[in-house]
Amino acid sequence: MITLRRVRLLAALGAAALIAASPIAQSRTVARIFVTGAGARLVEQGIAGAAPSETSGFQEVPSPGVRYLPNVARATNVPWIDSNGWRFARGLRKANYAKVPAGSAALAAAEAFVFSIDAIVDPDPKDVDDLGAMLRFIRSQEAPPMSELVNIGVVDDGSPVMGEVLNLLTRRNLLFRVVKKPDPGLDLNVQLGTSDFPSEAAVNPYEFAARVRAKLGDDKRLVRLYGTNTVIVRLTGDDKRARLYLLAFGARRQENAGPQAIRVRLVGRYRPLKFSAFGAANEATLGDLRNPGNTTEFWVPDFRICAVIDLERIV
Amino acid sequence: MAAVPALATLQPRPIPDYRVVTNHKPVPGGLPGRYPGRVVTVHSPLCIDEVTEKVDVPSVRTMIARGMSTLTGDKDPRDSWARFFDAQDFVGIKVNASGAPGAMSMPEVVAEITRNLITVGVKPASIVIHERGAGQILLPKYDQFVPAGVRVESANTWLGLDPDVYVEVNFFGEEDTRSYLIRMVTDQFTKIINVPNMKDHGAAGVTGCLKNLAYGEFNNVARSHYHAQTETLTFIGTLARVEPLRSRTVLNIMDGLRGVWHAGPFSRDRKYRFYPKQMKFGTDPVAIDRLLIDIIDDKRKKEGVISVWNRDMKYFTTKPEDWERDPNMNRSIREPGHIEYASTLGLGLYDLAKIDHVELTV
Repeated sequence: MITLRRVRLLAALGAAALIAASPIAQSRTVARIFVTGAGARLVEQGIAGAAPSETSGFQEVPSPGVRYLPNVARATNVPWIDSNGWRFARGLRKANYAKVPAGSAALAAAEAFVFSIDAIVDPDPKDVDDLGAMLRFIRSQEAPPMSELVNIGVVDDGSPVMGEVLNLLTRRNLLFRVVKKPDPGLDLNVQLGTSDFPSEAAVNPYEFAARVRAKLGDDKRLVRLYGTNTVIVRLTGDDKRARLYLLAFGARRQENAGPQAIRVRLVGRYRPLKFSAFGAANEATLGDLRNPGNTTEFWVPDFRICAVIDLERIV
Repeated sequence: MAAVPALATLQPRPIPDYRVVTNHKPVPGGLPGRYPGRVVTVHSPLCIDEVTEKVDVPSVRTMIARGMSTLTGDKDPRDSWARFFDAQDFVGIKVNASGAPGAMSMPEVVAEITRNLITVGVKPASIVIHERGAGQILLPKYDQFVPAGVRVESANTWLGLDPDVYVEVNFFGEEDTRSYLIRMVTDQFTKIINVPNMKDHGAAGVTGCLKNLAYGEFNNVARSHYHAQTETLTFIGTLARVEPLRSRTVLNIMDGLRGVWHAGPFSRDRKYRFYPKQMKFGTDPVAIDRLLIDIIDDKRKKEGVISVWNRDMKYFTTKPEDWERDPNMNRSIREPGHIEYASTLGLGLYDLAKIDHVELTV
């Protein structure tokens, strides 16, 4: 756990993001990925571990992905992200991606990496090469661990309804951690049964997430993404650096592409040190860096599944 | 604003909290431009063949010459063009290709505009026919009609979006709350000619000058339509007013050779096309669009279908195929009031009594 003194120091440095320690924050930056026999070739190549014979310590989780559901408002479909981020926020530390449909193995490994989770992946044989490429990318991202940056605390009662709330907060990039009791050091605490968040409000998790967003205010959101609604972020950092993870669930973007696929807005003033992206063009770089007020903005070019942006705080 | 005609069962929402971000300052002469409230309509019975949809180029040439000279009061149309453009200009021609090939700014019209620009000294390489989206701009094949050197571009092919000019607003809880202006408008063009069509629009009521600028030069705009409700009422004018789009748009030439009276802005079904056989000229987008409302609505009345002003939810459908099949169905409650709203932002004159409308036939 980081100390209160350290939190105050970070606040004094102008970090709008309150730094909160969570179980996730204490983990390695590079997850350990194990593969089943289907990926034995990757074990031989030394880029994955062999899945243990005893997997009971690994909780089976659904494969991540995106579904496009009919939208009654328009002739288009709307994306529905299936992410395990909320399960990890609840404390799940070892995941077993046991049923991974073809085309999803690399995304499953990337999800485990982004959330620093140990995972077993059972790839479709057709996905082994792609998974191998992702594992090499993940290995290239090794860096000293940093704490997770969040500014929302959620008092989790463990109920299914609250699980769905956490799921929607994750999908909407409202960066939170689960707390046992409200943390006055955070910008917003979410606790069912309070005047801001009455119990009946959670009946509709979608509207509940919208309520959380409104209570915090978009300007205070630590990360905003423009140009996509199928990318989940995770932000880690300390008083000097930050790392932004982007996890793309859909190959389909809205209408942007090329060098301006996503516009990122971060609270806090940073300069990028390194941009790494799976599936991006070799010459791809971040574009149009701006620091309006106490924020940082830049374009992220097209990439596939996962991107990592290392940043240095401007003091 | 004037009262919306009867059947107002779905009320417009309060004006959203728009945040306009731009690093460009207003410049005198911006919309409504040199001739506020003045509209010249030139009719030509021969300008298009209703069966083959072949455009008669000599008629178009005459229409544009008479329209421009009548707008400015010059005898020689070259003097009219020279009032707006010179050799130093880099001109963007904002066409409308969203309904192409069934409905679009006709290539013959765009070609004649480029010819006039070159006549007053604008270099072909300094003329860019453009749309926001890459797919639509290719369908009319403008490059086959215009002089060598004139470019056809979209934000996807040239310069992209300007990160410093956008409108931020949360309409319906969407995550992507910004609409960016395309960078060729902010970084390259000194002047813009707006060349919309005459079309019905399922959300905006009609789509003319204002919407062609607003939704055609900014990205992420379709988010303003959600179920029956649309925010086009205020979003269109808000976008059109953003600098430098407002001050660089100096001329509107509405291509009304062919129009769409239902299921616009697209034209998938030819039965909804009609042939106004006219062009409108002016600097005031509100005045031109005000006249457009009546053209579309009169045609709909003639066809015996509901008005673009109809807000009755009994005509609303969630199924696009119903709306495309039946002109008495709405996919959104249309907001033709966006034109009057734009007048309240100073973009032009809406009151018919104040519009100086000149009509002639060639």
